[in-house]
Amino acid sequence: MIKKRLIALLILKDGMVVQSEGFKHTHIIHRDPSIAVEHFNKWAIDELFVLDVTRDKEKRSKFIKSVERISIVCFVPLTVGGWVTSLDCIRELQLVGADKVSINSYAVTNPDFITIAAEKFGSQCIVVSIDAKRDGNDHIVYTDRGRHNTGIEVVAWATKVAELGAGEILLSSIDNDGKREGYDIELMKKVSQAVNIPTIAFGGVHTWKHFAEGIKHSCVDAIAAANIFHYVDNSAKKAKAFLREEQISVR
Amino acid sequence: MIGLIDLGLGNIKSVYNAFNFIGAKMHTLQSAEEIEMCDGLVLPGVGAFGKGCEALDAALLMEKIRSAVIDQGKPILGICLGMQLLACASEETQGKTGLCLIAGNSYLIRSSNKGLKVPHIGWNDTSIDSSCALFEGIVDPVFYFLHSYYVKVSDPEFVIATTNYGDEITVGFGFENVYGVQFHPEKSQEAGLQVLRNFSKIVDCSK
Repeated sequence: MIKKRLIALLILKDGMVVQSEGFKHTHIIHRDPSIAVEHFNKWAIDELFVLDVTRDKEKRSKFIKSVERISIVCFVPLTVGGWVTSLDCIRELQLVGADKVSINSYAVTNPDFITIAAEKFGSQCIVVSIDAKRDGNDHIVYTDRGRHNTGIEVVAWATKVAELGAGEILLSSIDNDGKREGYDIELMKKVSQAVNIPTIAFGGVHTWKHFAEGIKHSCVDAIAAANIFHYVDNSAKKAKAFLREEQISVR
Repeated sequence: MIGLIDLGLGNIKSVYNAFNFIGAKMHTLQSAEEIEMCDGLVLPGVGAFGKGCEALDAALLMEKIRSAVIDQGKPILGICLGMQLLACASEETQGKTGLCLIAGNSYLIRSSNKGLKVPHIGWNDTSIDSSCALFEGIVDPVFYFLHSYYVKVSDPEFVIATTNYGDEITVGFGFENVYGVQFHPEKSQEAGLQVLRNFSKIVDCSK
């Protein structure tokens, strides 16, 4: 039977792994991302996401080189995102080792790009990343790493991206990022229940229990985290042991 | 030497890296003529069936591959879209035909009525035919899948792996020197690397 997936997300700035909190990135964790990946490979992680948050476009080549180094030691699926705005961009990332590519802000301003990319590369290669923030009873989609309020309600957007041809959704809670209080379960639940493509939860994990709650209280297919994997030894293995005790099917 | 066929679809670097990691001698083909110098072939790919057929046609690969496999007996392993291209037609694209090295067609996974999402993405338990050389020594057959279509072969004898995703679907076939796997062995850690080791051994034994 299909397992729930445990995904490690590496946030890269200027080619180095950084810690994220409220979508702000200040603390460098690893100067060489492939070191982090070597650990994940052995420690039972199911997939790896690598996200570029570098604002200086001159430094893009550093990120590309980091992806290439990471892909050599990565024998689990690798998804790469950050500043993807063209088909050439997607192909460039595939050529350096990305199995899937994630699109975020550009998809909101150019929704047809999702369809064009899915037609060219296959839906299964296209992840649409959605960042959302609570606004009363709703959650609103933000772009540009949490800086721009689009005014679009999250379920409406998620439903649309699935119709447009996305293969998967990476759903991030801006409110919970780095807060160590667990996922925004309400957000994860309403989106994962509304769409027929896989949804990945992200934002707020601090304990193994948070992973389990994400699975048990929503219909997400995968649980992702960034910071926790850098600070706990054998973290992926321990997370999985906990999930198995909670009767959650993992590899 | 194993020839890696590059259709320009998906990430084939991982396949190359994985074979390299297990010590196989790999060469990414620059032309159809280079098939001559290979002892075995790997056809990877992620993307649409129609695009795969067009890429095979454009690179004049169809006949060269068929000749190498049928006339010269070179083993071939198709991965994901590659597996679908080793068979014949696909529901995904009307009017296009693959290599037809094995009798079968590809169909859309129809599991959404059972509450399962499409594409089928993730790690899934797989029932394997352990007597098949491709699966020798695999004790924990859990592999990574990333697809919306799967192959149904005409002869059940060809089926060497299935998985349950709503229905039981074929995810591996083997017929003489032709092998196909729907999952990604290059992305399935140890179990996947063992599949690649086994295929490398199959190629060595065929020389």
